[in-house]
Amino acid sequence: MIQKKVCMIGAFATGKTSLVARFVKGLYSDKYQTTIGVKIDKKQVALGEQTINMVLWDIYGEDEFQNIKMSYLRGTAGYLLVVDGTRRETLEIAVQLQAKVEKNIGPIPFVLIVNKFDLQAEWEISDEDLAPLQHRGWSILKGSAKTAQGVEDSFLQLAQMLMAPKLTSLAQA
Amino acid sequence: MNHSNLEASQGEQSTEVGELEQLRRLLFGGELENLLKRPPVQAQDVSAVLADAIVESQQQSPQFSAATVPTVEAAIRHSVKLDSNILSDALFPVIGPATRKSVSTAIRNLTQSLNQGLEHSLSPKSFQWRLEAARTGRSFAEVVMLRTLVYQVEQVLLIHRETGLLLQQVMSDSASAQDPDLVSAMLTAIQDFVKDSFNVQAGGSLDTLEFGELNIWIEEGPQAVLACVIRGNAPQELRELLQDSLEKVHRSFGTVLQTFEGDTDPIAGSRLYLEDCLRSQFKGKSDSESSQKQPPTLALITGCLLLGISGWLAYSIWAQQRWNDYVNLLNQQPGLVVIHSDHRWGSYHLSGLRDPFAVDPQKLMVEHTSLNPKKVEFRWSSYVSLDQEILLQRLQRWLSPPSEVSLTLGETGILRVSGVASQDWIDSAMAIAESSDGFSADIIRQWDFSQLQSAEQHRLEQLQARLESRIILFGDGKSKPEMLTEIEAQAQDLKAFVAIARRLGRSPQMVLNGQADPRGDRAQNLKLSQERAQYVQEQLLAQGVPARVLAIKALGARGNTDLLGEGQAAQFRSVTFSIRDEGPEEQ
Ligand SMILES: Nc1nc2c(ncn2[C@@H]2O[C@H](COP(=O)(O)OP(=O)(O)OP(=O)(O)O)[C@@H](O)[C@H]2O)c(=O)[nH]1
Ligand SMILES: [Mg+2]
Repeated sequence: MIQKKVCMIGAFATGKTSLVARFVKGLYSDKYQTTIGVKIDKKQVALGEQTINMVLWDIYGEDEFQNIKMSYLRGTAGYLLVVDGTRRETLEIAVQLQAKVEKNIGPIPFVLIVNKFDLQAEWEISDEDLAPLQHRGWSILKGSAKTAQGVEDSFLQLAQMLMAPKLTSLAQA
Repeated sequence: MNHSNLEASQGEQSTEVGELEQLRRLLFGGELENLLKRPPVQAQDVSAVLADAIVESQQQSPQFSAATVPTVEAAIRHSVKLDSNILSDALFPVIGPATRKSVSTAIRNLTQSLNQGLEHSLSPKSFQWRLEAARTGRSFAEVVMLRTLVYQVEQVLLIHRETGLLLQQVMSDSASAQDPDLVSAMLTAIQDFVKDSFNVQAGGSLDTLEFGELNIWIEEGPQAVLACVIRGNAPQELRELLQDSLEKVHRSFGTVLQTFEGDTDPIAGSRLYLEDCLRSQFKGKSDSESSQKQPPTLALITGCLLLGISGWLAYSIWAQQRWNDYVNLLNQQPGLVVIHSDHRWGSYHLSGLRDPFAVDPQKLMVEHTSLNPKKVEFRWSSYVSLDQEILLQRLQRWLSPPSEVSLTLGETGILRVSGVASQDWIDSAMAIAESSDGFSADIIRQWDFSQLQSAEQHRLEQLQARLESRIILFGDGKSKPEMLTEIEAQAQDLKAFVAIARRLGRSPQMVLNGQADPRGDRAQNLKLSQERAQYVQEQLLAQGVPARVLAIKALGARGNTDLLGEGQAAQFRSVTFSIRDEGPEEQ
């Protein structure tokens, strides 16, 4: 069996925990319980004939009080970069985080998900904002933990990238 | 080789032009010539690169191992055929441990369940536990396990150090399952958290987590971490075992771990090392290693031993008591002093002082105790006891008094010798009394012979009483008695009396008192009394009584006529006797 460590990173309250809950258990709650430290979950996904055991590290969100410690990302195969569509600053934080990870851990695969698509009307992030990133080769998806839209896609895309790292890096190059 | 290099370099252009060009070069280039000129491959050349070649091919593809299998198998078969000793010698060092290990694992599992079953199926605790099982809805086995557990390794996780991914895990049968993937990731996260938050020195790491009776022990290696979920208190040896197992894992899977990309299959073999760490220990077992040893027979033997010991204790206490009782009894006996007594391993030793007149200790033992005299070694030293009882016995022996004599020692130290004994005995006893001061002065202050009578004297008194009590009656006015038998008896007694008296140096006389009743003429009566006494005298003489012991007294009429009836008057028609002692015989 192939196992992969995957981290959830992003600003606080962007919906990292909610995305994991939706992906792993198919559940969603409107209640906000901020994550302290790390919460672990896992999910097995089938990619063709391969089964991958994704061990998901749901790390507390970055805020003005604490930065995400890079030690939690040690050995991670890839990560989901979570942005809250209703808060523009979360995108900026995501960009900073990506740079930090690349510097500390290396150019590992990641998928950026802009969450809370169900609240699209309130979104502060437009496609124009995302275009330059897309241009850099980033995989960007829009989704919602609440409606489940785009959630599985995001994780599966990441899983695919994990299984074919060379191909992905080629594609990104 | 050149040829294949050439092929490879041309291989990419798979056009006809390429092939033709190749042919052309073969035929007209220097290649063919070179090839033909080249000498055949030399063994030396191959040997120089053989080792490297094998290593290289093994690294590049697993096919090499597969390819060598038939050759190796054939080689082994051949070797066995030639000389099976060579292989068996080579394998010998590993066969022993391997068999031992597999056998002991099997036995361990069996005895563990057997032991628990045996130990807890009948104890009073088991009832309690059954109740608890019924109350909590757990299985009895589970309750027993929880209540008797000292520690148990429930789960062993091998974690990839960098990613926190689970490489391998084993679990004890009785443990409740936790998702090992999550546990290992979480443990790694905690480890990271601690290292980050508390600024631990390089090389330092979190190695124990405690949560109630649950402990997690963590051993970190360069590539992998071993985490052990333990219920209860494990001994320190377990830590060493973990380190040892982790080292083995690194030795066997070091390179695989270094290049780990998430595929755990190549590390599946590490399971063996983890299983080694699944130890446990239950209460009532001294074995710190685990519950693998101490079969039920050992418990049985221990039980018997305990029973034996307590039985032996009870017996030895009883035996000690019995022995003490006997020693006390001995000490109470006059003429016996126990100085030293002990008993060891069932044999007894006694030493002390014993007066020859004291009671026999062996006899006492037989009569009063259940001790076996044969098992007792007596060592008595003789001594002379001044105990009253012993002293009396000693005197008794010395005096050897006749049965009618008794010796009593009073409080005041007066020894009373009473009863009847021959004069000879009395004389000798008195002589002893004179000279006995030496050994008995303190105890016997005075001898009292006043109650002692000589047998002869006694006999004399008896005879005198009989002689003086006889009366010979006569008819009215008659001077011959109606019966002669009384006179004959008187004669016999008198002769005995005289004989004894003479032996005692005395010469008594018997006076015959002739009497008449008061009726009739006074002178006549005097004469009659004279005649009556004379007649008895003659008769006695005729019976052989010496004349000098007899004396006659004619008393005449006795009594008062007016006061007497006929019956009483007859009393006075008689001869009576009285003894008088004339003192020492003059001879
Ligand atoms: N409407 C809507 N709300 C969402 C969605 N996802 C998350 N939320 C809400 O956003 C809040 C924060 O969600 P979390 O999943 O806890 O966010 P988080 O990133 O884990 O936060 P931290 O752990 O504090 O960093 C919660 O109240 C969620 O209910 C979504 O897709 N739509
Ligand atoms: Mg969270």
